Amino acid sequence: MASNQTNCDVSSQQEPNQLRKKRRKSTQTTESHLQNDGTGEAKNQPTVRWRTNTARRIYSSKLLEALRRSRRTTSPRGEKTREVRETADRVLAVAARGKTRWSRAILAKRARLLRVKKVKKPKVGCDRMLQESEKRKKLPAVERKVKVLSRLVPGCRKVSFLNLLEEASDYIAALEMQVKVMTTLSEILAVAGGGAGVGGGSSS
Amino acid sequence: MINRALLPAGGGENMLHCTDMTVLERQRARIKWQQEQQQQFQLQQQEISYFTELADVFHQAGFHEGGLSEVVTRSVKPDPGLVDNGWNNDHVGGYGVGLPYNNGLGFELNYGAISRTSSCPPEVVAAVAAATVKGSESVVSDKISSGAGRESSKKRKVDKIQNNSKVVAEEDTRDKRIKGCAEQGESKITEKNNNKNSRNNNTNKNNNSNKENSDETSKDNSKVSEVQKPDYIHVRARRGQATDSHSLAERVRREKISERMKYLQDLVPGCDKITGKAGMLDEIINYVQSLQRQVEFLSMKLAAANPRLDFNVDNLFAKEQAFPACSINFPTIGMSSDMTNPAYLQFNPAQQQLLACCGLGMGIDPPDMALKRTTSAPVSIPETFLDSSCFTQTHPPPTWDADLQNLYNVAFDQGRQTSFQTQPFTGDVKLSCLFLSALY
Repeated sequence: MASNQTNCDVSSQQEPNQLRKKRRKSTQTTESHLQNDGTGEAKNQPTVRWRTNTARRIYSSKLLEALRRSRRTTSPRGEKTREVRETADRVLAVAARGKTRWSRAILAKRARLLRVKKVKKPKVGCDRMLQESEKRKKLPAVERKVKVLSRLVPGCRKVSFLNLLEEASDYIAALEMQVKVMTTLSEILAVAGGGAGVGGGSSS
Repeated sequence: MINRALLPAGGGENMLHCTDMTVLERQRARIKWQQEQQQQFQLQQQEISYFTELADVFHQAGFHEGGLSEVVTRSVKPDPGLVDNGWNNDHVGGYGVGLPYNNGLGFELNYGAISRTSSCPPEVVAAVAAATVKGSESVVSDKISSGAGRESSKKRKVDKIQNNSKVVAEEDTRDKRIKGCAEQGESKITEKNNNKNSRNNNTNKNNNSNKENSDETSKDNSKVSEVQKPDYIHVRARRGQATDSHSLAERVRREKISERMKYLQDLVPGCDKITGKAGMLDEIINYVQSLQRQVEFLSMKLAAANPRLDFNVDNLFAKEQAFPACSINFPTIGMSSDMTNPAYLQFNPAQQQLLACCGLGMGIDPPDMALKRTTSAPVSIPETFLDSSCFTQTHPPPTWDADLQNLYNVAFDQGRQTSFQTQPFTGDVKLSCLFLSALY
């Protein structure tokens, strides 16, 4: 996995070779199971769910479509990054097929945004929070970290520790896949963009 | 061994002998038990109904054996002192004195009840049976081993009081280790022993709390005057671990947590050496944050590269081509580059081949492809490009093939990252047709 993540820079060519070999094996094995994957039940383990080539392909194609659609509809000036990220997250959540809490939370967040504009209430409970902090209510270290983690994983603030771990593992697997797909996409786009410019010039 | 069990308590030498004998067996049994631990959890649910029935049976039996239990308790009391030494077969031996009465009674009651739930692996039964000399005791051990894996901790307390008359001996201690069954007074021994052989080593915290609990409860058990609670939790309490409902549920929850933490450990890179929840959580948090940052960064990159999103369709397709499977097709492409029209024909089957392979998913690196291609057919590539340029300009009826060639060019160029592009992106419509055709 580490090698996959470091592939963000295109220049490293040694690891791609290894990846390619790995992928060859995986593709050969998954070839026979292609038909099963389409109709069969989704596997339970997050790793299996998010690391199949099928999942990646589905996600990448959906992401492309969504990006193109978003491109056509709106193009806010300063917030392209956020829009792209939210699109990517939304597509990821869709790819999760609603089985996980974080995916439902992401979709619900977006639905809520579309329906109702977020009205930022003045924090009434702020004073209370300050008082508590003054009391120095120091939770055990583990609990503090659990809180941080629950804030990181979308939609998992009031979830039990056990379920939080499960959601976190699924979320991590999904994020890894998202990073891989977006890396490839960005590389292709970057190269293609550069190449297209030259090609267009030469053909004309 | 059984003779030793029947000797009156107090023989230190006997105890030593017993300990020597049982260490090896204990170790062997422990290994077996650890393997069979998993079976327990699966079978627990089945046994729930059986347990309640068993409980009723034992409860009834208690009335009959009340007198004997008193006798036994008296013999039990001096034993707690010995319990701390470890292997207290003398403790067991104490039971052996008052045994004969209850055996028959206990057997009948238990036999009928336990036989229903007997699902212990035959090896265990055989191992236990082999050790026993007396037939009656083998029966007992059979029953014990069969019912052992299923009995709840509460049940053990009940059994302890009622079945103290049963032959306890080393078989029981072995059984417990084999199946985690804690029968009668042996539960004390086993609990103490488990303190040393703590199996649940996922977090030291948990173990410490376990030990504390078990220390308290074992001392309580020594009095053998606990109230028999009718509600049974059907989780096997391990040796040396607490047996009340709260700690059992707690332990189950802890085990679930540790299982998930282990899974996360595999998922998050670089977590092999980290033990403990806090460290692991730190790593997990860092990893999630880094992944989210990467997504943010990549989305920025994508947003910047967005102008060329239109032809992403074929890019995606080409990306799919960037799969190892492509290496198969390259030689054909290279070879056919010399020919013009025949090349088209060859492209189609190659295309279909590619489709089949590309259905497998996304690749990561065009550089992979580049390497492959450069090594396989460096010479033929320029020719293909030239051909493609000819083809696309003429716009032959099979524009589909021209697009194919364009795609290959795209793939090539992506891999090489050269400005070698001819005109891969001239026909968005054509390319989208290609994509659609590829879809089905």
